[in-house]
Amino acid sequence: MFSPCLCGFPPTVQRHAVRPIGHAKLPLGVSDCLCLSVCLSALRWTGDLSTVYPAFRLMTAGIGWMDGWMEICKVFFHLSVSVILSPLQNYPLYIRSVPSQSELKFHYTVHTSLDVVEEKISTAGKAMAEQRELYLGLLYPTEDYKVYGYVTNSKVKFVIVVDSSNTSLRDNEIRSMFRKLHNSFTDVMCNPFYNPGDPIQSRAFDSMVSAMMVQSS
Amino acid sequence: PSVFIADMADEALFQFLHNEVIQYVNSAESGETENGRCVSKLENMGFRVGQGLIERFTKDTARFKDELDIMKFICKDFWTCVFKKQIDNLRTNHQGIYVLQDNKFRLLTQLSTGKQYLEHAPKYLAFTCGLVRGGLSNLGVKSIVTAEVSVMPACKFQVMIQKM
Repeated sequence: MFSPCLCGFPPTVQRHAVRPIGHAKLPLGVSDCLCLSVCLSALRWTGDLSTVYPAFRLMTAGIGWMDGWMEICKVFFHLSVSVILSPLQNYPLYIRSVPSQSELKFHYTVHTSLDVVEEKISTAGKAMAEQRELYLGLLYPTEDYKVYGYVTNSKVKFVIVVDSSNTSLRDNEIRSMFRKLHNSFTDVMCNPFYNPGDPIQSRAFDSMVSAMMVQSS
Repeated sequence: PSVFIADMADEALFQFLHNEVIQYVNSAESGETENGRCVSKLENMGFRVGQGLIERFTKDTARFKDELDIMKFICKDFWTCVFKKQIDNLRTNHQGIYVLQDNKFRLLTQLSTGKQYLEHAPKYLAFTCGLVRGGLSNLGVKSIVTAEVSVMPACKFQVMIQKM
C-alpha cells in the first residue's frame, strides 16, 4: 500500500517542503505519504471524495512535480461517463462510467442531453453553415457535471460527462477524447463480426475507454 | 513510385477478389433460375462493406449540409477511394432521384466491350449497388440503387431516395 507513495517522492521534496494539511503543518515526507495512502485507501472503501479532496489539493498545490501523482489519483476523483448512442432510436450502444455505483443517474443525465444534441445538429444544418464540425462542444453544465457531445456523420452520438471540479479537462482534451472514441468506434464498425446497431462488446474498445478514463485526457 | 505500384496492386487485388466472389456466389447458387438470388447476395455483401467504408471515409469530413451534399461526396471522394476515379456525370430531378454515370466503370473494364457478356453485367454491378446503398443508409438516407449498362464499360447507377 505505502510503497508506491514512498518511492514516488524525490529526496529533495522530502527534505525541504513543508505543506499545510488541514490545520496541521507537517513536513512533506513519509508522514504525508502515509496520510495520502490512508486517504486513498479510505476512498477505495467509501468512494466519498468530498472530504479528502480539499486536503489533497492544498498539499499538492505549488508542486509541479506532483502532477504525475494527480494523474494517478484522478482515477478516483474523476467522475466520467462516456456513452455512445445509436443513430435514430437513440438507445445506448455502449455505456461506461467510473465509479459505477451511480450509473443510473448518468443514464438520466445523458438522455436529457439528447435534446440539446438534436437542437445543435438542426441549427448547424441551417443557420451556421460554417459550423459543421462533428464535435458539438459543451452541451450544458450542471452544478456537478459538464456534458459534452459529438455526433458522427452516421448520426451516432457520443456523450461524455465529467465532474465540473475536474479543471484539467479543457475543451481540447475533450475533443481528443472524442476523436479517440470515434476512431475506435470506426474500427468496431469495420469489424465483420459486429452487426451495426448491436451493443458494443469489443474488448479492444473496452480497453481503449478504460485507458482514456484512467488517463482522463 | 512505390506508392503508385502499391496502389495499382490494391486495385488489381480488389478486382480479382471481386471476380472470385462473383464466381463463388454464382457456383453456390446452381442453375440459371438462381441468378436473381446471386445478385441479391452480392448486393447484401456490398451493403455491409459500404456501411463500414463510409464510417471510415467520413471520419474527418465536416457534417453534410443536405442530401445533395452527400451524393456529391459519394460521387467524388467515395468513388475515388474505391474505383480510383470520379463519377463522370451526376444528374438529379431534385425529387429524390439521382443518376450517377460512370463512362469507364472499373469492374467492367476487363470484360469485352461487345455485346457478348452483356447478360452477365448485372452480377458485376450488384456489389457496387450494395456499396452505395449501404453507404447512404449509414448516412441516414434510405434508398434503392439499381444499375444499367447499354454499352459495356459505361454504366449508370440510379439512386432512388426513400422518404421516411
